Amino acid sequence: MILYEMKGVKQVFDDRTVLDINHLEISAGRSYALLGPNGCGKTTMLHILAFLRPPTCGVVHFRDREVDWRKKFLTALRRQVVLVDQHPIMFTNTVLKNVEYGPRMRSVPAGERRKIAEECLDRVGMREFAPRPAHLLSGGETQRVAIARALACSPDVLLFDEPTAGVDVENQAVIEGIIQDIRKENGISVIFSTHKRLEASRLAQHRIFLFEGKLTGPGGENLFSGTVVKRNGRTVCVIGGKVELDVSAGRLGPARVFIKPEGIRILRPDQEPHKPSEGLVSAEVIQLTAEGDYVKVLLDMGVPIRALLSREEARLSRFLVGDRVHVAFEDGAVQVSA
Amino acid sequence: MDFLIQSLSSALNMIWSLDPEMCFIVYISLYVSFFSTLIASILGVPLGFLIAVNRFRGKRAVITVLNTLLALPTVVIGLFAYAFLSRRGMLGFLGLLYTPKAIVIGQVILILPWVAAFTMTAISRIDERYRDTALTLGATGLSASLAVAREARFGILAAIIAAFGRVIAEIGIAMMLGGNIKGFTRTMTTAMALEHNKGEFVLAVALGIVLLTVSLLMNIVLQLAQGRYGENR
Repeated sequence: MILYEMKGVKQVFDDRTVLDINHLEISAGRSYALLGPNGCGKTTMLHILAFLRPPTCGVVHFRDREVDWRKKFLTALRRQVVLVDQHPIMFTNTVLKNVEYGPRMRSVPAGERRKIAEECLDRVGMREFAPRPAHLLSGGETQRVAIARALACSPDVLLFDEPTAGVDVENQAVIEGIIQDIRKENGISVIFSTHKRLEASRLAQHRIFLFEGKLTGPGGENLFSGTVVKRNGRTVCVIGGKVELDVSAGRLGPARVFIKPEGIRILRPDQEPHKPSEGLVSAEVIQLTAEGDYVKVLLDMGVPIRALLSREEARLSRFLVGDRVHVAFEDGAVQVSA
Repeated sequence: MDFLIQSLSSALNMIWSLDPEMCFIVYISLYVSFFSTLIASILGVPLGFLIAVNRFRGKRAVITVLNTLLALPTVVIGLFAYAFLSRRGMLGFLGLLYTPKAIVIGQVILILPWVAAFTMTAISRIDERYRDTALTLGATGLSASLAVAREARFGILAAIIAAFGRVIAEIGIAMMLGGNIKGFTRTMTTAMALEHNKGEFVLAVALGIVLLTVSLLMNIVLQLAQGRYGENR
């Protein structure tokens, strides 16, 4: 069943388009990770999915019905979806009263809502914190109470905005465990934003990549803002003011650059490029991660870039973390769009 | 110096013996101040809230006008209200001039901008995420507004107490609209001015002590209200 469908959704703040989704479908009962760098529109998208902000234009369907953004229709929709903020804010009250807030808004009798609140606090391991003032908790504890507060609303959809950002490792593991359990045990649809790719792989069945407010399709890595300029008779794209990549002739000026991870070749300094004309960029190996049949290599060439090698390629290349290497790009690996 | 000590001693005796004239003056003062603060709060708190949370054309102009009204002199209000309430005025037929109700009307005009402006400031300082949190947890628009107001409760309470302090200590409106009629509209401040003119300081000093005590009590109430969560914020 389709839970959300977004068509031609745009969000514009002060003449700046922060979200521009052509078409997106999200299925019910699944877990999704919204991935992308800071400022790519993740939070804006979550606010639309939580029915907190109407988009500037476009249509959102929720459970096959078009969302009517008039105030009188929104409370009923919001009662099916709860958003847990990146830095959740607690009402200046006890932890228990905070968790009881959702059921109270749904007119659940006092005894029952207390029971619900205690059960939810139990679930996140915060039962003993019930009588404490909620606004005095640490970051990790606040995040856990915020999850309990969201669970107490018995939502069909749970949205998390960077649930483990700014949380210590111990609480991070607990929060990730809770998110996994929520979907498995309760069948709640979970959508969370993150810029941690490993977290997305661990927790989500599907990944949605955003870059500068737009969906970028599978991969979603190696996306940069750059400027295409002519230099010494070559057309190059300058990324981050440091890196210059040869690109096929195109419109000069600001551009979005996508580098296919599988189109990147990593050469040891003593290796020769396949073609003498091939431009090489110097880089340092930062991280090696196994991803299924592949090995992902994180390189620092002035900007972070990810290359995807087969396990065999990785084994033969014999480089280690910290090694200096040369990076070459296959034809068509560097794609530039306006 | 002896004169001051003697006046102070006689004033304390007057307070201790609960002098009926003094008690009635205090009662009238508290009565008009309570009702003017109550009415101004009922009108001013929602007004300040609406200005703070809504975006509308001319909002800056409204805020500027509101802030200007904070400096409105009491005698100006007294004069304008007198023009309306006097027998020749538009509302003269109501016969309100020189009654406690006339003082209440004037004082409401005086402190309504205070309550509205300080409520607006208190609400504006509240993190916008409180409203979003309440809404995402299933609150209606009204419930979410109440949740925000609850977070701003100390600021709103401080606004109300400041407004009460302003009216209980003002003299212009009480004098011009109340007329300082003994046993009817004589308030602490008008009585003190009259006693001073007469050269009788005992009642004036006694009322001064009561006035300061009332202010002290109001501040203690505010401190107690803030105590539980205020200390830890």
